Amino acid sequence: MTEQNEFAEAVRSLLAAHYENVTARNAVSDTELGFSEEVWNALGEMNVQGLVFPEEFGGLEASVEDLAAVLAEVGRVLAPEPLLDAVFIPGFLVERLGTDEQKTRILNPLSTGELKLALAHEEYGSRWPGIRTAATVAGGKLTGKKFPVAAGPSADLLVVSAKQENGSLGLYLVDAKADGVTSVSYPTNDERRGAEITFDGAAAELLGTGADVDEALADMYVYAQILQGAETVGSMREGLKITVAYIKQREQFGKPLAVHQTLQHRASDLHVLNELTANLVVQAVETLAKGEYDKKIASQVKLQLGRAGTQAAEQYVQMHGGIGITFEYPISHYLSRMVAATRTYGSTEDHLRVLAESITV
Amino acid sequence: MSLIYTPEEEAFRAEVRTFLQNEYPEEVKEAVRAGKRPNREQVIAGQKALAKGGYAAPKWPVEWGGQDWTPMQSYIFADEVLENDVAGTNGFGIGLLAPVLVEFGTQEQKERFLPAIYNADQYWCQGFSEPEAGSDLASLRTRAVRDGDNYIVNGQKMWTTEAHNADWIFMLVRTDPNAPKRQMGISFLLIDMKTPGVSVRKIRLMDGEHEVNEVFFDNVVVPVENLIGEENKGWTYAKFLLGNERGGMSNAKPFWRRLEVAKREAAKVQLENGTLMDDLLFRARLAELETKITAFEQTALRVKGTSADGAPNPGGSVIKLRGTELMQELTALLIDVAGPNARAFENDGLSEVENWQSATIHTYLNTRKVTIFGGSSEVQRSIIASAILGL
Repeated sequence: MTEQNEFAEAVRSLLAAHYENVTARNAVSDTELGFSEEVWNALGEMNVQGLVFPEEFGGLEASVEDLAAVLAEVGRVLAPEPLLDAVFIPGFLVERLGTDEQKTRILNPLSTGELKLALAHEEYGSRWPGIRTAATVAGGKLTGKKFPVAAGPSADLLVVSAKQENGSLGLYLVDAKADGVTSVSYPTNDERRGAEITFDGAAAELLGTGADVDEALADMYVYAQILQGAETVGSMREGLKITVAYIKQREQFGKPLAVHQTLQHRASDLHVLNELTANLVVQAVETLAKGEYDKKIASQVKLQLGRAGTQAAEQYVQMHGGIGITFEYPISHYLSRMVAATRTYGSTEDHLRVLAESITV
Repeated sequence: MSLIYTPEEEAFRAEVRTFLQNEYPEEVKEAVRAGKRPNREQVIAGQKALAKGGYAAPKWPVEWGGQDWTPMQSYIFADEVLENDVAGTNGFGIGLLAPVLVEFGTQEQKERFLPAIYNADQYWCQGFSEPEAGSDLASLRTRAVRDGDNYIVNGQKMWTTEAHNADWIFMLVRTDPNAPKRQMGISFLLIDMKTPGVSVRKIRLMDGEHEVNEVFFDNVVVPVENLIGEENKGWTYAKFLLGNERGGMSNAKPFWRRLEVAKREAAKVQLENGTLMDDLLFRARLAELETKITAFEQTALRVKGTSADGAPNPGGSVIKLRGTELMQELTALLIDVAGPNARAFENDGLSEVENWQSATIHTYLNTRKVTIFGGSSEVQRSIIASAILGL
């Protein structure tokens, strides 16, 4: 526990040095890459990207709780470095399914920040949990179109889902610069980067043996949903801190906003939502640490964050007033991030539907 | 409202529709269809086209170009405006300043400004808020000091929507810093944005767009004839204007329109079992919204939300509070209909992300302002508490 806090504390210091204010962060997110190579490499020197991977493949073999603590720090300052999208989510699949040779080849440079991945799984026209895969592989060549590919533009190597020749779902490694790969980049509303990637007979290497892919993907979604929750709770808590500080300082009608009981009560309600959400996520991370991938727990995290996180972030902006909607002031970015997070790996409504359908007497 | 129209009303609808189909610029309609905020040139082109047909400001008095329509005709017109993707006019001139001019301006001021506003020859913005004067508007500090036939204006305005595009700004300025009450030392001035000493700095908003600004006034010389009404009575005119601004949210049609888009698009979204429109959870959300919009619409029809006889009406606060909340809720609904495609904040080169999908989060983020500007929801609740409930 102490060690875990120390590591998160080190990441916190590193990020604080680079993103001490929103202007510094905006300067980075406005670049084409959208995040800082310098921060990425500094994280790599600390082996942050290898946090949970096995030591034999270059990782630190720390617990998922350690990772959650680090991600909360990322969320706290809204650091644009795509740790989940470029490392931990696709890396989860490589660790789960890859051969030892593949793990050696990929997880080692991944852990030092030298290699960036992206998962190209979802396709146009389908939504979680009903992701359909039309992409196919024949004779080692992959054809299909993937969208959205989070952190696609910065990826060196893509983990791509496609139907194997035997008809079952497979995961493949495709070099992002290979012949037959075309990528169109776009910014997301929270200044991250995504891509639509088209594969036209691109050379593809099967990840692992081609077995157990469906189960690995199902577990990966649970992993992603819960860890994204850990990151987003970091943002949610910081948003409240920023808001409370603001209403204490901002004066209207000759007194600080904070003297209005209506705002005090609202802030109190948001604190309660913060606590409930954070503790739900802590418990969810503990299940991951035990090696359990519980879909219901993951959907509860997504539903709770979707409702409480959105309500909180909207109110943070509202309580700020006009300054709250500007790009030049931090709080708007916390709402923007919440909007994005609650529409990734299934929307709030998608998770409500899944939970409603799974209720038993 | 009855859906059975008289032959006269049907004829009126046909006349309006024909005009909007044939005489309104296609380029502007395209921008509206794409869910984009029309730019200055598009607003002006659209408003000029409407002015030619006498449709630029139906609510104005007839002598200045307004229309003496029945409520049903106004309803039909609003309907056709939405059906035909007509962009909004320069609301700061048409909707906010003009009623103040009509009520409190001199004959000379009316003749000088109303036709220019109507024909979009002047593009207006509103200079009320300041860095330290948001909800507490009466604490504004921008000074206007009388110097012969002029005022010399110094200070700063904040959140000035469209200032970077505007030809003119109407302003609240402090003319008597020693008045016994802060509200008593404020005046209402019109300033040409091209006057030396006026400068504009853009503020980037969270949706990445530039629509609001800071405006700085450094020894700006303004002729006394640009004062509206009496010196130090500006607060009265401002309250009248704000009453109109709040009531301006009273049309439920844009809400129905968004709901229609949501239904139409949801029917195309394939889920595991059927489409999104087949999904009971989604339908329940629509049912809640339809009920809320209906209740809002019926309230807006019955509460006269606009200022009359020179006095603001607190009923406008009910409309503004509820209307803005509903608008925000609808923007969130559309993000969920757009699904993963909404994540592409820009869709250049993306093969299957439609403009409206890419615009949904922009609209959601941009719409956060409506519960803050024009009197925040907190201010509206205070008005309801004091002016309606007597608390």
